Amino acid sequence: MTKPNKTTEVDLNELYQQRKAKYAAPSIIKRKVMSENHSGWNWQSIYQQFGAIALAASTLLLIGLISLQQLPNQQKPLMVYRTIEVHDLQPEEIGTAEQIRNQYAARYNQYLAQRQTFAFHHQKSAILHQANSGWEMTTCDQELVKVSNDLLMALIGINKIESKIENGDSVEIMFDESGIILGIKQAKQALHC
Amino acid sequence: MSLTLTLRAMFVAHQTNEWLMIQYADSCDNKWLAQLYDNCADDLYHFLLTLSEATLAKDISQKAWLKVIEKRHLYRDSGKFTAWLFTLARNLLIDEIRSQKSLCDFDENKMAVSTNHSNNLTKQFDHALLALPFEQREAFCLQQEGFGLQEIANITHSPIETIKSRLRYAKSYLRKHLEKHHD
Repeated sequence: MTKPNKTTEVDLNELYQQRKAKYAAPSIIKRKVMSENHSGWNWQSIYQQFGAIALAASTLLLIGLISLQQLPNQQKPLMVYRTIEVHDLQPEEIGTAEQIRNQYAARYNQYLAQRQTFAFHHQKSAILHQANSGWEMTTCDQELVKVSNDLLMALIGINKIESKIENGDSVEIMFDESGIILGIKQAKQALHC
Repeated sequence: MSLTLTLRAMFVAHQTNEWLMIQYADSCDNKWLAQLYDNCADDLYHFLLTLSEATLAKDISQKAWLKVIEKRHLYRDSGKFTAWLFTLARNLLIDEIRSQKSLCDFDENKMAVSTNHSNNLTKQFDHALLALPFEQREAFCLQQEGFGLQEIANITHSPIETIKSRLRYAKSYLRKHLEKHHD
């Protein structure tokens, strides 16, 4: 059985509320808080506005930069890619057996001539034999290089042949890459095959 | 008459602390802050006064409201405004007490101040309340301010079972003290 004046939950609540009613917050706190809020408002507003303006400006700048970067990229493909039209492309005609054989012989002769030229290009030394039709120069490989009088005159005209060369002298023949004789001069040492 | 009451009820229904805080956070208008202050300031001050002494309670109360101004953009509608306010104030108080002295020393000083004997029941309640350990007093005050167990646990950063235990001990002590006084 409970006592008539036993402290219950409700009593504790009532006592707490009675106690609280005696202690109100000092009014000075409200004044200070309100003044602080008022003084801080303008700065906050300015910061917010400044932040919004800065954000807008940076966004515009970013858009501008992106669009500037994209402009040259759009023009580049027009400059890089060009269309080439092939108007005429005829297939090579296949000739008769005789034509093929002649072409083969001609190609083979060209090959031999190039081979000789190649050999002379690297075989610079030879022995000179003067003839009526021109000069003949014999290499150690028993190859014979003939130089016509016309070519001799042309080379002499541009001072590419030494005048003191005589029959039986050892000479050095200078060729260019394609085998054309550029000049003939007397060898410093006699050629012995 | 009934229409007026209905309109007034509708208007009042919107004026919750949470709604006021959102209005204040959006507009920074003194009007909303003043209403919030009027609604909550006495409760907060009494809570702080019960846990400390008058000068510190006034100081912490003011700091807590300044924190509300400063951190208004952090307030979310999901929570109870008073829970947020009391959490801010309680954290400030704990920091201040720790910076001054240890919690135990502070309580002893506090109890020494409130040793005036009286036959009045209210004064006996005051005496018993202030004689409670800090954590029990804190839990009891928060419950009296209308917070649930979970809210008290959140405000005090303590497990809910610990809060239950503190409340049980606090109420038991208060009842015994007051019964003894009546006997």
